[in-house]
Amino acid sequence: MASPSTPELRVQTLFLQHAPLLQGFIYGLLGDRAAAEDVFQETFVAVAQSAASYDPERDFLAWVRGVARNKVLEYWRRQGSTPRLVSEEFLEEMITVAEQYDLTDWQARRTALARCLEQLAPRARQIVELRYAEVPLLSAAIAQQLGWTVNAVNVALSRARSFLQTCTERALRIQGET
Amino acid sequence: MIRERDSNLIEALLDRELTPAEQLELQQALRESPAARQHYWQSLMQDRLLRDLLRETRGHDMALVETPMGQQPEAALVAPQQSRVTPRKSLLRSMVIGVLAASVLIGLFAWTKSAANLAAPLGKLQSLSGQVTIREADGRTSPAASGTIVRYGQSILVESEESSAELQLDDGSTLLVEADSVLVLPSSATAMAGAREHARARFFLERGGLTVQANFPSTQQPLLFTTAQALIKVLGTEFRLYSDAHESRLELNEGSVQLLRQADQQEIVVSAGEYATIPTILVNQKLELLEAKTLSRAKCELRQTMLRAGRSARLSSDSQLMATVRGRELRLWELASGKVVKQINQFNTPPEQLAFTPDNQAIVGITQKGQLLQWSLDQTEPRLTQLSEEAIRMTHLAADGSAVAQAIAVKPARLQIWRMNENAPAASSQQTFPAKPWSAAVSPASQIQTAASAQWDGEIELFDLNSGKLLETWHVARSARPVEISQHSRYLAAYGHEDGLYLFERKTDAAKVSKPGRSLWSHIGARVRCLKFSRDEKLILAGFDDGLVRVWSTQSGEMLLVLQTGDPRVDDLDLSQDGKTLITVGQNEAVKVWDCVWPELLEGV
Repeated sequence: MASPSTPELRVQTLFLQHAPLLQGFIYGLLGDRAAAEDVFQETFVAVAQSAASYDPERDFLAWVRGVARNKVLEYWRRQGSTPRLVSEEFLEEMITVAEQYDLTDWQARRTALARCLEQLAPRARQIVELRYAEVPLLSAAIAQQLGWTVNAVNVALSRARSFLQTCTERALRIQGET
Repeated sequence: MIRERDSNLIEALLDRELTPAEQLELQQALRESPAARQHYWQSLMQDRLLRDLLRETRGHDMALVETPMGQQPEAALVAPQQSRVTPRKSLLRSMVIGVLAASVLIGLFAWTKSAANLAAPLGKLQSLSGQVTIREADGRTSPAASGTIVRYGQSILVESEESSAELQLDDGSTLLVEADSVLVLPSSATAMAGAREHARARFFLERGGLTVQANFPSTQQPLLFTTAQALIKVLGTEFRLYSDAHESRLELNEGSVQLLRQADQQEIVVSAGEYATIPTILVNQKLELLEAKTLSRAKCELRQTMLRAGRSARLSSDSQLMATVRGRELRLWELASGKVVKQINQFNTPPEQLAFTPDNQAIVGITQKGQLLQWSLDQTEPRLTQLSEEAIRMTHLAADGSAVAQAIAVKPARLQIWRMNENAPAASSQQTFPAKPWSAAVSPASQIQTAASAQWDGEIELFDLNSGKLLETWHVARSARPVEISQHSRYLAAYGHEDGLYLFERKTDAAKVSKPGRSLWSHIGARVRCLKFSRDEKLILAGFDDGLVRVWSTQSGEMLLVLQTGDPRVDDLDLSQDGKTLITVGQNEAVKVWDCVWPELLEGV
């Protein structure tokens, strides 16, 4: 198997490194997992096709976010008047908030979140694992498996997420201060 | 402060599709409330991170194939213990995090205590490629370049797949830090000397791969290397060390090394041609005897090197001929004499993959852009045909040149299969399979011919080209590439970007459930660039980006050969039908021909 040319490989490698962050970004603008996946794929194709013109001095994430933004707009135009989570005129404002997350922040969050996960109570941890496992279970299935009510699972899941968010932010704050 | 209702709507979005009314309500909230926007992105990023953290998948059972949201997978109800994140894994993860955290804390402590020595130089970086960063003990980072002086207390971060860095120490020893690796340098010369008797320095391989050529007089103190699981005292040698969350693996080329298991302080000496592994130990887990094992039971000796021969190479089935591509030329070599006997160059874009037809009378080639080349060796010109011109993510040519698989990215995304024709048209589109393939593979023509589509999310689907049926669905952590199918489609090998090389075996007709994948190589410090099965399906060969070829038995999973090609990386490889001739293609277009002898059981492959 021959190796691809260097700029293509470099851009693909960078894309892979930023993929989870970019997936989150696109999903945040569309609010629909299936649509987000399609747009993510289209973004990759566009980025790969422009690999040769990518200047390594430029901020890669800013560049691919720009491409993704255009793909989101294209997607909306294809969809016509289907209701949207984020309206077009409000898009830039949403993007501005998302831009605070870069790869360094993402990795720091990942590390902090991994530690916070260990601090969850065993039952809460189990619910989070079932919800985010390879085969993600919805609340009803988790409830059936644990012998809980659906409402109890929802409450536990909500509390767990809230704890993880607070714990992660606190860890990042402490890290920032030190 | 975010309103509770807004928070609930955001959470609902993470778990299910919102109703149009809820969507409108959330849209309104995001528009009006900066706190809602902040919370929205935080929640989404956390959601994505949780998926990322908790789905560190391995090859697994068919019963656990991911189902669309909203459908309840039966397997998860009846077999919760099969969830990807088991308590054991969870414990393992906490231990690894704990060990790493402890190491960092110890490192920080040592650094603080020995700040006076921080500025002391330790060595010089050279032969850098790709993205290499120096991290200070306080976390600050700066880009490195060839010639950069590194100092005690710093770390070397080799960040991407294409990167590597060589550290030359003042005694002439060299440490080659492979891609995706982090090497933490000793915190200070004096502190380290005091920390362990005889210690001159201690390096911590946080993750990744490292090749060491120690070069110092016996009167000097030995070098010391640590990982989360092991401590290695170098007694004058050349070795490779790999470390990740699961294990440390040490492979020795020359000399000997004293290896100490951190968990119980058991110590052994590993000598040239041996290897040893130390897995991460769980609490209360019984420790197995630490022992050195033979690194390669098979042996390959270099027969000849053809410099500037090409970047892609294939052997004819009788091992008499070899085809290579160099620049715009397709060359045919007589292997015995090492001479070019024919060549053609009538194409603008040279093919990147090659195959001999089973009768060795023709060569088939394909470019990544989908141009097909068929060269009958008794003709002076090849036949060129353009297959699909759409956005092709990857093209794969069957080992016998009988078919081409294309991963097509544009809508509708699909896996497209082309079959070769003897007469015009040169190829016809046989089948398409709905998929979103990141990479693709197609097997040679046989009783059963199959094609595989490896998707972005790590799902790999294997299709029967005759019936069009989906035969198998397997998983790796994320996007597998390359993927290869064996001669009779019994095996599929896939290199997952995040979790290494897996071997999957197709289930028998009687079996209802697929076999889980076998992990062959998990150290992402050395990455697979090319894969090839032996014609009889007994061996799987992988060419790595650290210049090594590793070969495993498909039956036992045992690693039979570790071959240093002497090239910085292996771009392509092929094994003759009888298994006695191996060719490797290095970064500088050097094609090397090797004579191989396999263990008794595998002789005559």
